[in-house]
Amino acid sequence: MLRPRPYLSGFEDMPFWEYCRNGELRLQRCRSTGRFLWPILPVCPDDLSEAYDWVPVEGRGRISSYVVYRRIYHPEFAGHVPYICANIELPEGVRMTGNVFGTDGAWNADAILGPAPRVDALNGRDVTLFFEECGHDLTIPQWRLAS
Amino acid sequence: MRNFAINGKTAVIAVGMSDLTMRPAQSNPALAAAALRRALDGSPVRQRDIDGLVVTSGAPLGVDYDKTAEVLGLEVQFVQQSWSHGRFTNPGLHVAAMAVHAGLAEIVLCVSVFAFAKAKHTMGNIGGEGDHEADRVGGGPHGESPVYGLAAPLGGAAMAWQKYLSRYGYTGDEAAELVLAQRENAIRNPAAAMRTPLTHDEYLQSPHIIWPLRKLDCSLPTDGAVAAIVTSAERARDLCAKPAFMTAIQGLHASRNEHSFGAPWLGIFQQGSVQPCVADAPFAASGIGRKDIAALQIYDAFLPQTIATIERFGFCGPGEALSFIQGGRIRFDGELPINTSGGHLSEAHCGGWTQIAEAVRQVQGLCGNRQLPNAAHVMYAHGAGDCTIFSREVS
Repeated sequence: MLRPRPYLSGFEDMPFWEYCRNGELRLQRCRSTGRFLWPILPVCPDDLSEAYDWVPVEGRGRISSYVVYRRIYHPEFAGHVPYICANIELPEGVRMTGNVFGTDGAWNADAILGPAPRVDALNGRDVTLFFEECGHDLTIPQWRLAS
Repeated sequence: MRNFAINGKTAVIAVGMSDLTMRPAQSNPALAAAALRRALDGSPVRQRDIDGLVVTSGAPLGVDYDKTAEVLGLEVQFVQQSWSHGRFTNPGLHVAAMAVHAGLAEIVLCVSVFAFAKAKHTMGNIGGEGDHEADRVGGGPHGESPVYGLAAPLGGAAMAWQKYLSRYGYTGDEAAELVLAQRENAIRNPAAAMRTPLTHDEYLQSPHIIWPLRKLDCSLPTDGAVAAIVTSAERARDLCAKPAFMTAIQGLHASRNEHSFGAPWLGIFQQGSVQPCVADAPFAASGIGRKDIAALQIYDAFLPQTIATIERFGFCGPGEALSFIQGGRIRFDGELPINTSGGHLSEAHCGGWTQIAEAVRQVQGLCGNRQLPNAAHVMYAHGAGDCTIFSREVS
């Protein structure tokens, strides 16, 4: 789907988008501390070093928290509410933002959650990575409930 | 060493506010002028006495400092203007206090306009197209990520709230008490923009905008302005019969663990799920205890901020605030009244300045039919760690 264009600075964030375009999620990892950096950073905040590598992640995650949008803020989402936005916790130690899709690949929140869901229905649920073309010649990481 | 040397050295001597309206009724500079005119009403301070200016909301949401000085007839030699966010309200007040304490100005006017009603009428809902705050690598200042539809400040607040409810075992319906208590306070406040009585059932029927947050959990999109006049404690005693002394100040916090919608240990966005750390410094440095606080005025653009603030300043333990607020404790006649003028949810959203005005007026004894009986100390606090305690006397 065509989504609002994400902000690209043209600098340290560019490799991320290049890897995504190739169907690979790589994050920065500081060479000296071993820490994964996210959101994309110009330096490791522990030692201010620019010495980091773009390391592939496993592609697994767990839902840490999530919300359901019932209002349309950007016209691109007309026809797509209700949808879920989540903080996905990766085993690499960072939390990424993404949408949550059902095992069938659809992302209507009411269909995913069912009637009268508990407030914590999705917390702790495992998700797996996939990629979605979002227009603008860009591809974004997305997350599907693990079956 | 951090010794909070400024505590007790400065005061707010007068506050004034424009009409607070749900529909645009005046230009932004006219709102600023109304706030200043009302602040000066009954005060010996004249425009020519004001030599410092602090603005925490510039155009288009508010009025920039240069236009403010021009419109209000000021000649000032000290100015500070911040990014237009409620999180800079306490810091703005603190800069005013620091300027007078440091001798850079004698009398500082803090005046800020927040024209959310105009913004809603011209731009639609805050956080959609045309909102460029999210255009940063890593997302916007509330966690926004428009490519995923995580738009608007409310989205970040909802993320914090879902984490809070699920982590501590609440359903979310418990929040009704906070919303009802603030509405009851607003009904007692003739200046409040929303004074319609509200029932528990009506709260539960309020639609979710971004689940788990309901429309009634959000601030009102109002137009309004507040002016506050700050000077040294010494000048304050000459210029005002009842100054509100700033006896405890703590600054805005920033770190990877900080997020404006959840306590630093909650674990939203990049926050760690770390050991809770409660803010004791304002109490330890001032000798004012939590039990001495007659009322808490809390910045509540969205309801989760109130809950996070109560916990962060140690009025109850982590995860306990949604239980703590039940049973009348935070009502006007309870043990710890919260947002006695109605807060952002029912009075107006002036970026926290109406809560500061309320704290000052409670301490000054000017609140009429909503005057608390023993308002010796009233605290204004914000979820990102900053606070000011206003006191009748400096001990």
